[in-house]
Amino acid sequence: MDANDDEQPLDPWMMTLARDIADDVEVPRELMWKRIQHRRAAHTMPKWWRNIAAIAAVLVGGIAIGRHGVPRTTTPSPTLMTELAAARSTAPARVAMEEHLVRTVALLTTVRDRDPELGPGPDVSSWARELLGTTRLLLDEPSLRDDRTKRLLQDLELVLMQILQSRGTAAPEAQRAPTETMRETNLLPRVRAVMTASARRDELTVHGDDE
Amino acid sequence: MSDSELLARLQTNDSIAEREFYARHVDRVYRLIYRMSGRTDLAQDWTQDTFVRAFERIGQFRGESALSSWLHAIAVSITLNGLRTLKRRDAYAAPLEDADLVGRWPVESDPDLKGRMRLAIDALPEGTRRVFMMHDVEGYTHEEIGAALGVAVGTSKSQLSRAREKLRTALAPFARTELA
Repeated sequence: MDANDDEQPLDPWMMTLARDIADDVEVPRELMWKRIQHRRAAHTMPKWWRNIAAIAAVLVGGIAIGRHGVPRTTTPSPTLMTELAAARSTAPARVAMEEHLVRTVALLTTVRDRDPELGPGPDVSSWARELLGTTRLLLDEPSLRDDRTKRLLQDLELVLMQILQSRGTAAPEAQRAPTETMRETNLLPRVRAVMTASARRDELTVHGDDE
Repeated sequence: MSDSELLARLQTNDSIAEREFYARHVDRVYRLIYRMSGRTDLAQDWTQDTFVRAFERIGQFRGESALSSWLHAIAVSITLNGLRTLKRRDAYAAPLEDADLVGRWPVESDPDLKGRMRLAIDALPEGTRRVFMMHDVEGYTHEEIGAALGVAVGTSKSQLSRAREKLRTALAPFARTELA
């Protein structure tokens, strides 16, 4: 093993700064979208009829949904409309996070229960990297920026990074880091609490629909 | 719209779904590439490449992983290929001595820690900065970095070691405050 494997990682506050440096970077969304559209149009021009067919299908589908999918009942109150709009806007992100947390619990449990004396155990790195990518996506999600959710995702991000960094080194400090952070941040119980809360909310929603 | 609904619509070349897919993921993809390349011009070019390739290949995606992970993999692949090309073109391994530039800013010039960290990282030599970002921020091993960037594992380790040392030096004036 190279001596550099035992090199002390940066302090956690420096690591956090390093991870966050891109947060303030302005993303030229519209400019890039126009360029993407332009490039794709240049490549697909001979197949223009496909696009027209797709647009037509969307329009026909949209009209059909509009005519048959929306019940013609009394107009909901403005308050109800607002609540429904809010629920719809956050629901996909919440569902994605809940699915993500289910998968996360499985990984965290595997890592927590790993016995260092029995060797490194199964390689969970690709699993951890995928979860890390999703965790960061969720951190970017505007509807998940309440303090509780943000802190949970940040702690999860740190543990996943530590799992990835514990590979390829035998340094005891790096090996212990994920489980120590999990314990110090009370991560598993917090993740389970969010899952339980969402299950209860779903239950209430179902009962509410029945009434 | 759930991921599965979005995927179904993307696979029919639904332009509304494509726009939705882009809106959901563009910030993350752009920032990932920016962190790895350190340049806004490259981040723009490679973000566009990522989405163009994703739209071209969406028909082959079978849903074995999350859409976001699939897109992330495309972005990383394009970025690493781009970095390898840059390396060939610009001679990747800048002399490590260049890193001595790091840490010369006076403390009072930028009280914002994040800004100071950005300056310190930007001042690292290209190769050193890429190794640091890939290892400490994106979670790659030295073996993976070596293979991706076409450098020896030992080079990757020494670049990381130098990067950390320089960043510690640059941020040292703030360490006491942070720890307190």
